[in-house]
Amino acid sequence: MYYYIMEPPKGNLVKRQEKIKDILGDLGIAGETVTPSAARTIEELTHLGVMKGYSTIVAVGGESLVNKIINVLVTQKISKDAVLGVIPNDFDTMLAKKINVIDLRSACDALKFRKLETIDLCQVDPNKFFITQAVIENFRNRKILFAMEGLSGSAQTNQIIIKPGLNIYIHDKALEGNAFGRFFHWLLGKKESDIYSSFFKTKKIRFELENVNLPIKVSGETIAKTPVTLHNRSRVLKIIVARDKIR
Amino acid sequence: MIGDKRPGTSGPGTVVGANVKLVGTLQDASDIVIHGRIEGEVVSNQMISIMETAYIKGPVSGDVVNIAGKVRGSITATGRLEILPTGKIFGSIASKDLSIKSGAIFVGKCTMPEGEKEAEEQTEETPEQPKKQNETYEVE
Repeated sequence: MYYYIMEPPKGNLVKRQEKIKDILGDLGIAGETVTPSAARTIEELTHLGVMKGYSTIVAVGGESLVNKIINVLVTQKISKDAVLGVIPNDFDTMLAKKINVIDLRSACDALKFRKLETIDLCQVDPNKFFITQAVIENFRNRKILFAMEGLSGSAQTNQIIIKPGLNIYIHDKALEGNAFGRFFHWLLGKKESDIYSSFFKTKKIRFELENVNLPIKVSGETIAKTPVTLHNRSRVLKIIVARDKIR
Repeated sequence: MIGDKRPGTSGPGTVVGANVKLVGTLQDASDIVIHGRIEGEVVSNQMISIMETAYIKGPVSGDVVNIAGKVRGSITATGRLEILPTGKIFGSIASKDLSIKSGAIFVGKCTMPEGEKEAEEQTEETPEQPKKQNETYEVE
């Protein structure tokens, strides 16, 4: 049985949600549909859906909605059988690629065929999970300290991106030179290799800044502030993916 | 992949940018590319590339090791070790396949674990070859 949590309809979303309901009806997988409001938050609705005995909670909306549902499914552990389905708003996102859906039809078809995959999630201490990417960003460069398994270090950076599987990208735009220098290189056809970006994959990492606390944002929302520890939690959530997914 | 000791894992591996300083053991089953500064051990089952801006203070161990930066410590390559013109090594090196380009600086001891034996065997065989050639001429 499917339990659909749809984002509050705004503008074009009204027509889109009607279309989704039609497709789901045609496929014979129409279930209970709820919309969060001031009275019922996404977290409360998710909890309610699982308590009612729905085995498939479907997020119909953006990445923020998906991450909030995931947090309830993983942290509250109400039911071991609960599975997440996603009909994303945008099909050009990392999440859409992860579940291998390209449009509304393929997303709805995936729900019908129910191919399950157990995926890894990133956890931010103490208890926040996310499936998309997190960003630690600052207007200007700052020295950020980090510690991994058996390794500690520092970097001058203005942007850190944390992707699922705890893939860490550290980038420093300021060291690339000014706009004039970059234009000059472009004019002369010189290609400079990027020596300022770093990439690590780890199971646990802690970020800390001196004298400042930077926010960690997931889908534009601040979920924590530095100093912070992130973990890779392997195989913690069952998600519905499209059948022809090759990974 | 730090802490990942699975052999043959594919993927982009680890890249240490020029603005990064690390202390400790950097270990990855995939390739490692270093532009920054590391004080500690660097270990990979595959390729380690120490670029021009890099400085390593500690042992380096990998299958294929390319040095264009500065290393203070021992280097062990199970496959090939290449020291590029900008490379500077202060420490012992061990590899069965070694290449040192003109301009490179190497101060230390070099051992070639398997290559040494083969080279010795070849040098023992080479003095006999001119004799054979002479014998052929005598027949003519």
